[in-house]
Amino acid sequence: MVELKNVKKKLGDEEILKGVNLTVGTGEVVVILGPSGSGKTTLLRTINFLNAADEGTITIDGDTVDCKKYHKDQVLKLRRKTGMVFQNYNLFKNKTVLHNITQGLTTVQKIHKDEARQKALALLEKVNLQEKANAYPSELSGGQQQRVGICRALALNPNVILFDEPTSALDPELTGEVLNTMTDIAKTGITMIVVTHEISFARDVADKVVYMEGGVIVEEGTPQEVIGHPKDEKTLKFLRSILDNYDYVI
Amino acid sequence: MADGVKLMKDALPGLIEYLPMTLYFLIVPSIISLILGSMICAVRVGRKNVLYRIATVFVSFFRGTPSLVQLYLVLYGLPKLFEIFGVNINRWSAATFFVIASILNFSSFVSEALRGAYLAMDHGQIEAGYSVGYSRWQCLLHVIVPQTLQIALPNLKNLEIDLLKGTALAYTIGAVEVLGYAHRLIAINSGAGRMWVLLAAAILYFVINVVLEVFFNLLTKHYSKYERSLA
Amino acid sequence: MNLDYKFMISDFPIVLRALPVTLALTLWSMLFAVAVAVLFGAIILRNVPILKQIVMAINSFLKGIPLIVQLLFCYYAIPYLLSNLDGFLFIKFDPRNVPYFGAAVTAFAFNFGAYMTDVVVSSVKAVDKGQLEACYSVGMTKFQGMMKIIIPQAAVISIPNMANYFIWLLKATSIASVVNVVEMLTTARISASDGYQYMEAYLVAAAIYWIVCIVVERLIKRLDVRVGSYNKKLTVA
Repeated sequence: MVELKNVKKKLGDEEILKGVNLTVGTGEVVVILGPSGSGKTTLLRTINFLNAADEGTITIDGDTVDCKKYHKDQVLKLRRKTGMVFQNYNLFKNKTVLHNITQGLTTVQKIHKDEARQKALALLEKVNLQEKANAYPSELSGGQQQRVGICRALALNPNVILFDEPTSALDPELTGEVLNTMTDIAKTGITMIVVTHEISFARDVADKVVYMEGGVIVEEGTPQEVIGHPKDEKTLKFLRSILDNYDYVI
Repeated sequence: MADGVKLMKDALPGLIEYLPMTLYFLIVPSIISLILGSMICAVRVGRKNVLYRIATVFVSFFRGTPSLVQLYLVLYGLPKLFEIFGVNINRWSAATFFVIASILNFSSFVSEALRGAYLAMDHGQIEAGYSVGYSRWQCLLHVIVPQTLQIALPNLKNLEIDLLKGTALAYTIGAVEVLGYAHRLIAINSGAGRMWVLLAAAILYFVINVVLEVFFNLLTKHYSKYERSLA
Repeated sequence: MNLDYKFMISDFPIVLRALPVTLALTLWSMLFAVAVAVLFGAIILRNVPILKQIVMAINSFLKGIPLIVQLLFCYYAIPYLLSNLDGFLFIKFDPRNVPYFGAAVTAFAFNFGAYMTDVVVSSVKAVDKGQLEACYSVGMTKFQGMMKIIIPQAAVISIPNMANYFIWLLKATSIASVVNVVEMLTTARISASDGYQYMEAYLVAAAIYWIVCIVVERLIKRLDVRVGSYNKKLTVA
């Protein structure tokens, strides 16, 4: 479904992505782990061209874009196949919760506003936020805002949803509700690429785990492989640093 | 077009002769208003007594009415005020009336700018000052004034530039400075080349404006060397 | 102080009758100033090469020259321009009917437009960057994002500043009295010319300006509260 080939990105003199190759199958949940500065967020954002890569190709559902030579319309097409959930939620501040979800449907997919409304309400019900439909984002807690953000991404029926550290800005007691929502979505079979520090989510929900460091993919595999028996020294070091009592079986 | 530029060049020496007058209208009110404005500000951040109420009305009036109206009010009103005390001030020059009107107007804006800056200041600094043993005056001098001025600086710069531009209104009450002379030139030439003369005057004002900006930018730089955060 | 109080009372409605002219002058100038500001602001925000530098230079000039000079310039230039274009397209210039009001509006529009360009640019920049990214993430084009999300938020952010400039402009219209526009100050002066009650007339004018400014200030505070209501804070549970 999603294929990244030899993606490179430089910021000034620094090479953030040094030629990354990644394949994500349809319906797969891929979690990308790594220390800060590893390039994982940048990699995620090259997929929907929020940060355009310098070199390489991005393919989503058969549509390929060359990062060196591309046209605005190609980018638009890619963006319409993806949905994104942001670390800071980025809900449209001047729109109600309901309109946040219907905005993309009516403006981009040209769906009639009544139909969009029905769709949005159904999604809000699934995350238990239907009473907040007419509230503004500033009236919601972080966890609630993020769940609305997830609805917004879901509403567009994208081929893949990109999650950029969805729980990092939340207070610890609120991360649970968001992770639960993400788990529920994963069960519906939608393709997800998640950048996160929540190892438990990676262990329980991911089909594939990718460890990145220094702009390259160091190791990838199933959660049991990467988290349970990491092959690379670097992966081991990272897991040790973020997990207490990390025990691994060789 | 070429004779237009020539007209400008011819007009400039005469206009420049009146530059000192414009600068007089700029500098004298600036200095006096800074002092008066500080005093008004001090009253306005203090206790809400009668003086406070008078100051509030004063500031509200001079900020809430057009400066041109204030100018005429001072021109006609001040002599009437002095009449009460039996003093005849009709011999005073128009320039003096203009300076007085400017001071009244400018000091109210300055007082508001300083007041905003004082309220925005970190009051922990004042407490720190007292804790190292500063007297009230020392605290004022070493802590309050420098910090208030620094915060108010951008506003004061804009106000000062507005004051400069306000000096151009002096000719309406007969106080001749750069624009006043430009008007005279235009009248002498029966309106020929008037837009060019105006342009010449405009350029002069712009030059002074640039000088003011440079001055304030230097001041801001000097003050902000304390703001540089750790690398 | 021997003021002619009777005159002041009778003069009040006379000067008040010119208030609509002052307000019209303010509103038209504000309208065109905002148009100028949006145009110039767009050029600056989109970083159009060369044009951006020209716009910034023009603004610098407009902000650095006294308003009265600009008013006088337009007072001379607009009739000159119109008389030269007389007959061209639909432009008809009648030397007996010089458009003093229009000339004044032009001067105000450019002068205040220069200041409001800064407000436009800073307001758009003040909108959280993430908002535009969210627009992109749902597949909107930059234009759609700007129209639906960014510009509405920027407009709300700009209200306090715009309000201040409106009040500034209201007071500045009094300078138009120097260039033959019959607004409140001119009316006050004319009404006093018979009996030389200038002081009284100007006091009346000052009072009306003062009251109007205070009223407008209050109205704008209300507007800011209503339009920005989506910024209400979360009440702590």
